[in-house]
Amino acid sequence: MNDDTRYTCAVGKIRALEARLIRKEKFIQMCDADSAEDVLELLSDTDYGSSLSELKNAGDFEDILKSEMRDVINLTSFLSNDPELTDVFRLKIDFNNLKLLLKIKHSSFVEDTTKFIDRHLMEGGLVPPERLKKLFESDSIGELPVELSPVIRKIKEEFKENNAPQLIDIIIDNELFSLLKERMGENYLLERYLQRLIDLLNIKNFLRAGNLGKKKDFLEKMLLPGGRLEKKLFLASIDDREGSLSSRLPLEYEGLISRGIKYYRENNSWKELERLSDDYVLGALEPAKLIAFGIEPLITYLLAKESEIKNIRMIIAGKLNRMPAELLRATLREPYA
Amino acid sequence: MRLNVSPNRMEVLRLRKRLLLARRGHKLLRDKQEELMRRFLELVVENKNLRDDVEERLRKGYQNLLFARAMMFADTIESLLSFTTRKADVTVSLTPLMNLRLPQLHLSQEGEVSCYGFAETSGELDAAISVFSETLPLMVKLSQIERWIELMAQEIETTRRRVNALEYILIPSLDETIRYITMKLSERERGDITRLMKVKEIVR
Repeated sequence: MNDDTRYTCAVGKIRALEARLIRKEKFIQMCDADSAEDVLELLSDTDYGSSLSELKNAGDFEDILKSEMRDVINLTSFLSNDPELTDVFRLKIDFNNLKLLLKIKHSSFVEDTTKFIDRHLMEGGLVPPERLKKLFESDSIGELPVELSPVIRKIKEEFKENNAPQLIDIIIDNELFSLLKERMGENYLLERYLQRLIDLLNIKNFLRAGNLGKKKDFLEKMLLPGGRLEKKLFLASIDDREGSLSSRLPLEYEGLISRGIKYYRENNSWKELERLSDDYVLGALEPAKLIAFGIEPLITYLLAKESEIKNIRMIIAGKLNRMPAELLRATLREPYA
Repeated sequence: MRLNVSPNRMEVLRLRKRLLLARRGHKLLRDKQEELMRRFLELVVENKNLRDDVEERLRKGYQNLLFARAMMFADTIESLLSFTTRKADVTVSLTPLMNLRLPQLHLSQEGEVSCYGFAETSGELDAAISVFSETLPLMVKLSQIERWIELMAQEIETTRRRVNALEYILIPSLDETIRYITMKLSERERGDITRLMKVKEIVR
């Protein structure tokens, strides 16, 4: 049994917050609502209620969700006694901001860059957007957190050979997942979560790359490090991606992937595979419900909230675009609550 | 409607030549109208099939995009798609067809369709982008066909007015005028003969 008593108070607070997570019945009610306004009305008696009262237009709902996500990340950072671990989620935002700045720097982007940067840089990372922008403009990479500066150097080197903005995303994603592996790897539950996440992302992305006609060298760069499935397994299935990959997968992924591929073949859509993967990955954190002493409930709450926000966003975006209720229900992620 | 001309033999000859020319022009214009109409109907059918195909593809593409949009924040998608290396260019050349100069659109594309990493993006975005990328050449073709149809419709309308003007105004007027002059000349000839017979009787 984990005896990390540093988290006794934090876990108590998280348990109280978990009770306020949205349940499946509520999500189904939201899917069946007539309009986005009705969905917002249903959300008014949840944690989102106070922010929603300030919302003037249903189309601006994403700002509320982003601010909610920022609050959750701030809360977990505040409650955490292992900032190295919880900071990873803030670094994720910094990495995304870096992607944007690096792409603008290395591509022939013609729009008004200042406005574009201000509109798309996200708040909530370790480095505030304004400071990140200034450090980047003055080329003061050394002043950035130690996790960010090596990435920029690596991209500078790689870009001498290849000029595709996609490469920036690939390098940064690889760095981010290496960092996640390094920080989460010591915790059994979080490592299990991360392995599932990386394996399923690699499988899905391997299939996506196949559909886009990507070659072996792209795959080698694209596959994320830190999963249980090795690169050679993917590279050996390169000629018959869908067929031979399924047969080479471990039993725990085989059924899920076969169902996802079957749905893709019938509907030319990855949404079923993505839904099954998301549910399976979050399912790895179920045991955290029974942990009373440890950081796991904090991280699990953060990830559960992320999944909840994904569901809300999907439902409201769907309602704004008149998507049928049954389609929304079929795409719904299994709530953690 | 009779033309306002002096009734003499020279005029008849001139009018007969005009009538012959008008009939020949009428036949040519009628043939042109028929050929334009045939091609126009072919294009209308092709346009309908192509439009249905494009609309179906776009419907699927937008559905994929909608799911991608539901999975990711709107400004994330906007920022991802702003850095594409795909470039498209359309050049126009003109093809002559029965007095028409029809624009021929040539689409050239280069670069990668996918311009983002896969780890943080939804597969629905790939599907949407692939569909839109495959649909673009069809949309260019559709716009070319629709412009052709528009130009042909205008030409058919003009030709129809010319054919009608020849058929219902010019040719009947020429016919009527020729008949009138011929009758006038015959009448004059008969009058001359009568006058000659009367003079001959007085002289005798």
